Amino acid sequence: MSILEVKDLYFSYGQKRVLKGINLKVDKSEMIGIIGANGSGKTTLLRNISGYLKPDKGSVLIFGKNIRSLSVKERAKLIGYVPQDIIYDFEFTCYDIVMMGRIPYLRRFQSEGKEDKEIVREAMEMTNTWQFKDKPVRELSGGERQRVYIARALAQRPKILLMDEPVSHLDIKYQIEVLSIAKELSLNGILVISVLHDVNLASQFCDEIVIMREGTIMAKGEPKKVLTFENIKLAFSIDVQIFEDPITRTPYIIPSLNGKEKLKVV
Amino acid sequence: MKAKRGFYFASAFLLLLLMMALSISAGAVKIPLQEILNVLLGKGDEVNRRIILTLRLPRVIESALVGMGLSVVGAFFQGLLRNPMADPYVLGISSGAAFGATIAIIMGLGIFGLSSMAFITALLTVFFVYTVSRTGSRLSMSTMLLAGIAISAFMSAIISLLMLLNHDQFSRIVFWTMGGFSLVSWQQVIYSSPLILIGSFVMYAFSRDVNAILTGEESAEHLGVNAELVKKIILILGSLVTASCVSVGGIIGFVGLIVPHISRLIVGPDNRVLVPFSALFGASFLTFADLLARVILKPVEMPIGIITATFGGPFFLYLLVRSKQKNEGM
Amino acid sequence: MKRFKGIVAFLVIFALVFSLAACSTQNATKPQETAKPAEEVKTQFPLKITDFLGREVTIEKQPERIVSLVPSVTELLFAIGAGSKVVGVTDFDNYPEEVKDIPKVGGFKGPNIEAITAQKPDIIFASRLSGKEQMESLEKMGIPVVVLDAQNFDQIYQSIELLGKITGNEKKAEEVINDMKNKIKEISDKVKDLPKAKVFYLVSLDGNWTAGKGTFIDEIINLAGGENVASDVNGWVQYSIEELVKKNPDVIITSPHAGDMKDLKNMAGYKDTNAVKNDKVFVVSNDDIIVRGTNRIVLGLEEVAKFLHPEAFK
Repeated sequence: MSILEVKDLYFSYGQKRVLKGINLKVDKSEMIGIIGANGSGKTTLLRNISGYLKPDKGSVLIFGKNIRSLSVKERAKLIGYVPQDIIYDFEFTCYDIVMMGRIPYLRRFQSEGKEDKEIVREAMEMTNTWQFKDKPVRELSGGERQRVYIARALAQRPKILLMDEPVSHLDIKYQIEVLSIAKELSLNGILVISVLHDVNLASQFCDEIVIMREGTIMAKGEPKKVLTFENIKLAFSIDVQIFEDPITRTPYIIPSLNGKEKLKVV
Repeated sequence: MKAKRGFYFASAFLLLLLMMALSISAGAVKIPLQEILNVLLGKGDEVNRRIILTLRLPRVIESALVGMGLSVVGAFFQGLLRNPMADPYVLGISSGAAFGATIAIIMGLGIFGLSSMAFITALLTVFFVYTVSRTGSRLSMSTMLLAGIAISAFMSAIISLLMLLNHDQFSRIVFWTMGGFSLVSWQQVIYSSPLILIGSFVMYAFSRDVNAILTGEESAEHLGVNAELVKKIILILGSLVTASCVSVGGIIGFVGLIVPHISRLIVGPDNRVLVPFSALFGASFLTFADLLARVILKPVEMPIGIITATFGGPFFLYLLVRSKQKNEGM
Repeated sequence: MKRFKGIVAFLVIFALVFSLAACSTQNATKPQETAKPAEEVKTQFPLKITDFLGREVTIEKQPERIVSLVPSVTELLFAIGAGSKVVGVTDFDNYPEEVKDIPKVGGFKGPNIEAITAQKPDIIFASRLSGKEQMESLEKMGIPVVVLDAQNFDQIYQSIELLGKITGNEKKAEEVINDMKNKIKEISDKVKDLPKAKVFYLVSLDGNWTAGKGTFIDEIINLAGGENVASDVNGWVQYSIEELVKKNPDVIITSPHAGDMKDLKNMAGYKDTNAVKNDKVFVVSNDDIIVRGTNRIVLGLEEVAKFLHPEAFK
């Protein structure tokens, strides 16, 4: 049974058709990066997978179950979601925020128990955020905040972690940090699907890349296979030169001014 | 952390008891403490009995109830709308109630008719604002806020027009909107307490959900909170509680705005703690404000809105300064 | 820690502002200054007079086109026979009948400068509430503005006298004054030796608003052989219902727009007063005769006196 299966998904915002026939199947836990030009439907796809949006046609199955047949709470036990724009104009501490990840498991008047507290601690230690648990979220840097929200998603004990451009606003150091944590999680049984803006970061960290173009999946597979001159030209309308990253041995893309020159690949 | 909270709650509860005791013992008519105890124990002078049991006691209880109701709704609306300037009246409830009261006064419907009309039109106004703001399956809180402002302005204009055309009733209408508990009797307490108490308690059950919604509605849904349902429940209950409060006490400003803020400064943003604390503190605050309204210029009764505004004005400035500092610090 | 600092600062600010507010409201309920009596040098023009705000106004010639922004002044102008000279009144004017046909130049939001100037008045009578800035702009155009809103019986007589001088109807003015004084004496003679009834005036059922010292109602109650229970306060205020129960009035007087007085029987506080228990709740026929500073105040006095001491008027 696949972890995630998207069947023939169509979605429109009002009159505008955004997703046109998405088909996707993921059988094992790995790190998947979704890339594509702005407006190609990346975030919309993510929100359909999470169940926040309801598709016009088609379905999303998690471990064979249609997510629409699950309650909001049941979905939250399976899927963790880290949004792109993090709201932080409130007084909650980091601990408060991560503890919210336990909401799917608590009944209305039930207080957090020992197990919940342990899970929160674990999630925060995994994301290296335990040291500022009593600090208001407002006072953190962008990268630290992002990690706190990942910790919150982790506290949900999800099987799937969805992230929407988690590192677009971060410094290099934090980009690497966050994506490393995500990679680590994917190696420990969680399917991580992240929309990424930076093609090269996707190439470095992801086991598979999904390229989206105008509401459809243009290509899916290993970075080496998928990040080709033609694909990138189609998806991003740009000519590039492709090198090999000396450390990760994955494709490294540099935009070129005219595609006629071809530098030697080292 | 827990011990500190317990201390704050104990203090708030004691404060409430103190305020109520103070309020019962003071008033325009001077009644010595011994006599008050006599009355409460079933004895005492006839006139004093009437004053304490039929006038003062219900009034003290009602001001506590309304203080509690407005503060709880204020806390929840601030959370739901994610706006620190929100208060129980943002969705047009106050102007809706004033509209009903105006019509009731012009038509000469009597006391009970007035309270009922104010209650009904308050709810109808919120319902109208809600209907106008709904797009598709999701309810936009920011649209509701704007719609509430627009409809409030419109209703105020209509009320002014009605007052112009019926200027015999002008003073009555103005007096009602100014708010106050001068004519509260047990009847009002009996009618308003179930709704205020039950409404507040049921809303309290959704404190954790509103915590999540504070971090974003979409975020909240991803955490397993049915944000749409919670919004509707809080809106409905909040409106019912506010309409109850307004139909008895008129439009008393600032309570629902500043009590949650002060409470947040003391016990933090977690609604599971903030809401009950606001309830206690708000009850104390309004009971005290009512006491001041009765006693400062006795036997003249000051409109209670003046007292709450005197607290509210400087506090608003303080909030502005503080948020300015916060922004500059960032 | 930061939180506490904030709270302390806030409490200090609150205490300061609140004491200021309390002080100013205290001052606001002090009685109005009594007007200086009108002074005039000659009964010919130009006429120098002092109005009720102590302003010295020079009237160049006898006015032929009068705008009255004060309903009580309008009534008095008609009473002394100068009604035909009135060319502009407010929305609130309703007596006598003739004012229906006079153009309205002011209302709810105050006087309408354009409408006033359109009537080409040569004098304007205003009240304290008319709006200082607007009156100043009219004065700048050369139109004399006289503030004549009577706040007590003496000022009514003064108004009548002054209006008589200004319009040249001194004789009729004197008649009106004497009529008033005689009637008032007649009524007060009938009741002055009778036991005073404790009276409370209830403005409306929405809040316990009453008329304290310094209002016409207060004077009427005194002249009518009664004692205003609310004479310990000044002006129009909301009175403590507790205090009312303690004072226990024998009679409650109210106006036609106060609401349904039957409700009083069920309202806490009121229902325990002698007035409600003995069904001595009286509604005057018309507000205007008890709040307006005109000669009709005598009618109001008569009604109230009859409520309080019906035996004296059989």
